Amino acid sequence: MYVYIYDEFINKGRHDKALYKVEKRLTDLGLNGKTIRLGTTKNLKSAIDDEIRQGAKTIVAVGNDQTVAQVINVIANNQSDEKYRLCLGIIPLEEKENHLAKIMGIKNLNDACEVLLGRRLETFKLAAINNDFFLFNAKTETNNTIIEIDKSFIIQPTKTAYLEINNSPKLENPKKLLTLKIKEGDAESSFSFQEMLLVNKDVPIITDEALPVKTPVKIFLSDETIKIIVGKDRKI
Amino acid sequence: MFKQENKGGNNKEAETVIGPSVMVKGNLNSSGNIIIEGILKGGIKTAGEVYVGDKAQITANVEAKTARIGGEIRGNLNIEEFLHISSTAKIFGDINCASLAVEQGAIINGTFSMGKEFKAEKVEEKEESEIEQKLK
Repeated sequence: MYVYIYDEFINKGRHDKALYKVEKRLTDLGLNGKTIRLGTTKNLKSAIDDEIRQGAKTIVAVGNDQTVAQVINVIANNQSDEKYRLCLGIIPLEEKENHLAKIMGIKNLNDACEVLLGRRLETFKLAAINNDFFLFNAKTETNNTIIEIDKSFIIQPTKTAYLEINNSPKLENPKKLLTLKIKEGDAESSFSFQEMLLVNKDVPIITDEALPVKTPVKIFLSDETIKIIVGKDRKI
Repeated sequence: MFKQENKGGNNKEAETVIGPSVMVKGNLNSSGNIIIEGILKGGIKTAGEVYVGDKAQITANVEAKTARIGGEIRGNLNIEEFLHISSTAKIFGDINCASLAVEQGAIINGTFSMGKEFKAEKVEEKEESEIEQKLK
């Protein structure tokens, strides 16, 4: 059964036309299912946990990067084994803030319906940040940042720069390490690690271009995986 | 291996790169290549190669397979194979390596020991002195 999670911002009416088209197309393709509209009364975690308990096989995040990142987190944090039977689909509603959909080979709304129908599944490894997860990256400014790597050394950037932690989520990737890049103009530092502690009192760290997480954070490779329905033109 | 003519080191081949705007404190243990253009205080140990840029400042003992030094090092160098010391290098510490090239202008304050035979002798001497002590 398909469960469509509509993010709260969709309820404001700006996307009604686009949604109508998508819903019609999904019905034509035989992909219609249950719709859950998030709002002040419906919480994402309780909604998804309920659906997992009731045996949902596919949860489709309808919204933007933030929607997808939040749904990934709720699924990965679910304590039951049923979650491993679950697939995540993506319907991107906004052009600008849908980097994750584009990486997964979903270019637009029409494309999203065809990708769901194709049901091409790929399993990805997640990285952990405190009690949450991310798929691709976590970014922040390095001003006043202190980083401890694998409990063996400390990195202190001496100038303001951008810091990016990358996960290689493909299962077949033999590299069991995360990478850290610190960019300041043309200069770049890079490190590989298993575990990192990061403190920046001024700014949060942003995971998967969407979710801000307050520091201090512990970042490491987790054992959690997630199955995502991807398009044939995926960039990963 | 870092090519000698490539003065910037090869970032793509390196597992760890410490850029000019970064300071690292602690022990850097690696199996891959390391490029240092910034500041490091602690220790470096790798089975690969170490490239130390012209403006790098290192206060650490360095253990590596091969190394090219262009910056300042305060600590001992223990290089298993080839060590290249550039004209801009300032080394304050003892050097042990199998083979060596030093460019004109480099500043070195410390003792040199070269060749694997030397290491073997040192071990044998140590073992002999330990045996002698035990016999006494």
